[in-house]
Amino acid sequence: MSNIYRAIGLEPLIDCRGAIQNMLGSLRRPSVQRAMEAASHNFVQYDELADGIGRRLAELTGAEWGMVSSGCAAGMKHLTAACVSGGNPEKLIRIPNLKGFDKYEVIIPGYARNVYDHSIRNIGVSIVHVNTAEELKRAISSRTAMIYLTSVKSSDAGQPLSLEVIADIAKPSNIPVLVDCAPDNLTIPPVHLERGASVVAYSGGKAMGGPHCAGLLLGNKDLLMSAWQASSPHHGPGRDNKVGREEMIGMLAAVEDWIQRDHDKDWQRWLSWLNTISSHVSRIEGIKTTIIEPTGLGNKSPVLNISWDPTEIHIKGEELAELVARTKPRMAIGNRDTNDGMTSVYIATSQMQDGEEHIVANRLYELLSQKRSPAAPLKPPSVNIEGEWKVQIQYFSSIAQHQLIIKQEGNWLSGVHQTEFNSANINGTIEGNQIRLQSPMRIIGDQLTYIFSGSLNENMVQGDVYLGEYLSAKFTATRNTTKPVRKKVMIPAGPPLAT
Amino acid sequence: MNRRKLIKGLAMLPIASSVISNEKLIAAVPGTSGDNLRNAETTDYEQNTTFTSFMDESNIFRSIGVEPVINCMGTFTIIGGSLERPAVRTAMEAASHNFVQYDELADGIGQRLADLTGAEWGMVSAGCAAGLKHITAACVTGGNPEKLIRIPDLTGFDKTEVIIPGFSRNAYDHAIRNIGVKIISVNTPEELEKSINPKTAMIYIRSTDTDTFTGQPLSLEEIARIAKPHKVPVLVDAAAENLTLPPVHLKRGATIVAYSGGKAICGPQCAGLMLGDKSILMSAWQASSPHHGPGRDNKVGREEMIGMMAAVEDWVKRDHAGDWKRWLSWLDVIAKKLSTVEGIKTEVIERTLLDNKTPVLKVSWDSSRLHLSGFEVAEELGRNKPRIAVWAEDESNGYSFFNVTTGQMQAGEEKIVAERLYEVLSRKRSPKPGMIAPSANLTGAWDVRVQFFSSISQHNFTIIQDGNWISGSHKGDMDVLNLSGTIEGDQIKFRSTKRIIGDDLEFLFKGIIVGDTMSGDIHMGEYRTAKFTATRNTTKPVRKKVMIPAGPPLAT
Repeated sequence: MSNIYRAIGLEPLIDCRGAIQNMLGSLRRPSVQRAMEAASHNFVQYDELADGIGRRLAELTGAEWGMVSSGCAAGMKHLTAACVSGGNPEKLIRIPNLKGFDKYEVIIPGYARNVYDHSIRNIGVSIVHVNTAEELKRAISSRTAMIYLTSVKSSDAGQPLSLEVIADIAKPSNIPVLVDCAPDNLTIPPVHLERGASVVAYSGGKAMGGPHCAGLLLGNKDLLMSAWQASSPHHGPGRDNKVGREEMIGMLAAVEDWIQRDHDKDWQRWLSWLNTISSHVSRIEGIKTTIIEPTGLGNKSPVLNISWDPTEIHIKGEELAELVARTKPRMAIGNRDTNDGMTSVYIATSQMQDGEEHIVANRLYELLSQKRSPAAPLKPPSVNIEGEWKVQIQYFSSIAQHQLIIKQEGNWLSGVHQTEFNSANINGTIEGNQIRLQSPMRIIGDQLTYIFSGSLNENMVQGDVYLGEYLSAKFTATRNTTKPVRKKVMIPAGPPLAT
Repeated sequence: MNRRKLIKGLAMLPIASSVISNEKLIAAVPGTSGDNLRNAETTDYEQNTTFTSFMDESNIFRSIGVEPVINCMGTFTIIGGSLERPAVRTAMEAASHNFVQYDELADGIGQRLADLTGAEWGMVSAGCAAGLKHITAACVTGGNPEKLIRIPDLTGFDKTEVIIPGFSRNAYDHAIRNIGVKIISVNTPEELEKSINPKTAMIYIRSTDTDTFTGQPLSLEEIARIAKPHKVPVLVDAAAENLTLPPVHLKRGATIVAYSGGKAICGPQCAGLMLGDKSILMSAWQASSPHHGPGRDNKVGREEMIGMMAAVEDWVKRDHAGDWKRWLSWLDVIAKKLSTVEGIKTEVIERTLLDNKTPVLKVSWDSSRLHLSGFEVAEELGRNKPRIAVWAEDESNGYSFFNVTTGQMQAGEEKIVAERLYEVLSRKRSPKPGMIAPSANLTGAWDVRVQFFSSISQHNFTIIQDGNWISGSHKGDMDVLNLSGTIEGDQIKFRSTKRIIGDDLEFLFKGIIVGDTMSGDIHMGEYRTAKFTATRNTTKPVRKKVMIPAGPPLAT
């Protein structure tokens, strides 16, 4: 049978990144698939279904209650709604307009700010940053709806702002603590609840192999009942987070499957795949391999690190990862460069399927054993583009005016990219008339990089803007010919005489 | 806790058999693929997988203590919307086997949807409401990610307003409000013309509002004509409609039309379908999960994306006339069975509008003659086995009716429905007893403590009692609601409602009065439940003569 993706002109990939890969997700376990099939045959009342699933999840996990949302981020949104509404629909239907609400602040430790807290911000709450236990104590007030943190190292036991420390501070004021464990392995009973969290949130489409668009919340029943009230199918701010009954049942089946699954055997199988790949590519001179067995819960999978000296094997890990991603057989692999001058790619196994280890081994062997010449030196620039440029950006459905101030030293470019909202330092190159510039924006809780690629012709640079996950745009840059202001600055001797 | 310990701990957990028994169920159901369903009309209806699973005691929902429902209501989300077509299930199954890059998938599907529907481009979202949200985001960002990541804080944005005609305000425009835009309500073409300004991001209407129909003052055509010179996109929400090819609303001037996947089209319930202008849909996709930003919480699975596309392909190929005939034949079965029940009138209505377009059997009766209201029938059918969901109403002329809507019924269910309706309607009922005299007078002010799921609020009632009848007001946390109801003996039942633009809110109080304390439960409709305790406010009312000054104030 022809692959359904190829039928619409797409080439599928082998996932060697583990379940964190946002752009790929995870594969549903067979029992999840069967449960979803069964659930698709009949109609059922959603609240009754949520109660049935909630009870079953409690029995299975040892948490007080459970809830399925349309993804982990949606679950975080509903829980935030629960913490500001308290289950009062009068409040719920006003979100994100929180005027007149008593609870409208969410405290997040600096270390836990991330792109997923956008789903919390969507409720209209003010985010209060804290960096120390003292700051946290001072930040808590009658306005505090919730404390949110991620299950990263800084929240580990023993750290200054560990989950335990946060839960201790939050408890006397009855502030709920939400721990975002999206890509983590589920522990039974959930370890973060034992450590003091009120609710813990998992992604269905990551470690557990549940439906990709489902999320799992476990913990305090009262809060989860309010969160469910805030979730689709109920009308209100969460109606756009639609969770299907198939996905709800599928998520429950994934938890059951997770509990019954032989995790040790999975681990051994994964290791054997990595051994296959490792022994294959190690035959290439200059290739070093290491198998790492992580002990943390996040994206837990054995990882094979394949490293080499890029001055001997003339390809960077980044280039190899790009090459295997864009050519058949396609695969997603990670890469990194280390300070000792080595470059590497790495393979995580949790989303690989039986048999794919051979494809991966053969492909990596083929590409790494190819003879390559050292990268050619940069071509000399054919022009000097130093100066101020007016840049018109054509997004998918609007146009914006930006500015680039470029300094040029031979091939190397630096300077500043000024947008309507941000300003960032740029770096890049010019070869001949070909320009490549990168401007990474530093924004709390979000990541955005503009990558310009264009060519200069007759005083105009035209080309594409690569926006990473935000896809693409086009740009046209022309020199700003406005003469800079040349006027001496007068410094008054005292306070102003007119304003 | 290490892994080994974890697994060992599990052995002690009471793992019930839902998924295991489910495997048994699958094995017991002959051929879960589409073939049986397709042949259902001509072959033994017991072959139908849906029917079989409804009858099966090990139905996956029953395995967690939830009783499934026969849907004679139409595509209402709260009971599951619609059932996926067999071709949709097959496609989703196939899509679940491999990894694919999401943007490439969106592009492939966008092109295929364009080919299939004649629209310029198509997009699949995590439900229709999510699609409305992403289109709104697209209209305020124009595809600029720097703006996207700031939503719902629109400070510094040039486009911040969405215009909605008053008649189209509804609970689903919450998805638009979630972007942080200001909603501008208009009621006439002149108001619309005046409201459009450089801040206008979009105009939104709902296709089912008759005011948008061709020929009306604020028809889609008229709105599009006014919007066009200003290049303001017009979004038409056609969630529960039949898909027309090419999409009729686009021809009438809409920029984008939004459908629910889990309604007429019978795709994945948590999918939505957007068709129309490509540049806006590209910006909308940029705003959708998996991309980080305000739409990351609207997660759409690749299975659901492929399933939605398969549903459109299926819709295009489907024998709609054949469906219609089969549906009519089911209604005939039910009507025939009910024809012998005295006092029951049946009428087959063949709906012509696109929304929930299916034949409907209207079953009506004189409620004083049968001593039965529509509400009571709907409750009895909905709460007892075999559970059947119907839409019922009690009319002001003393007649009650309910509709049997066919679009989501499955072959074989017409017999269950016919038998069950006959049983319920033919039962003799006595006239309702008169009301019991009240045991208390509730007139006065009450302090009310409301226990929501996770918070406690202080509300107030001001009640006036006239015999059994109660009226007054209910002051909540945010609103003052109108209160009305009854007291019989010590049993109180009252309702407080508030019509809020774009939202409906209703509290149904049921409790008893003991001394000066009322207590009981609150039924909040889709917002579920709360508990209340009310005590008389014994604060003496202020008794002080009001002085009216003879002129303007001398101090303020």
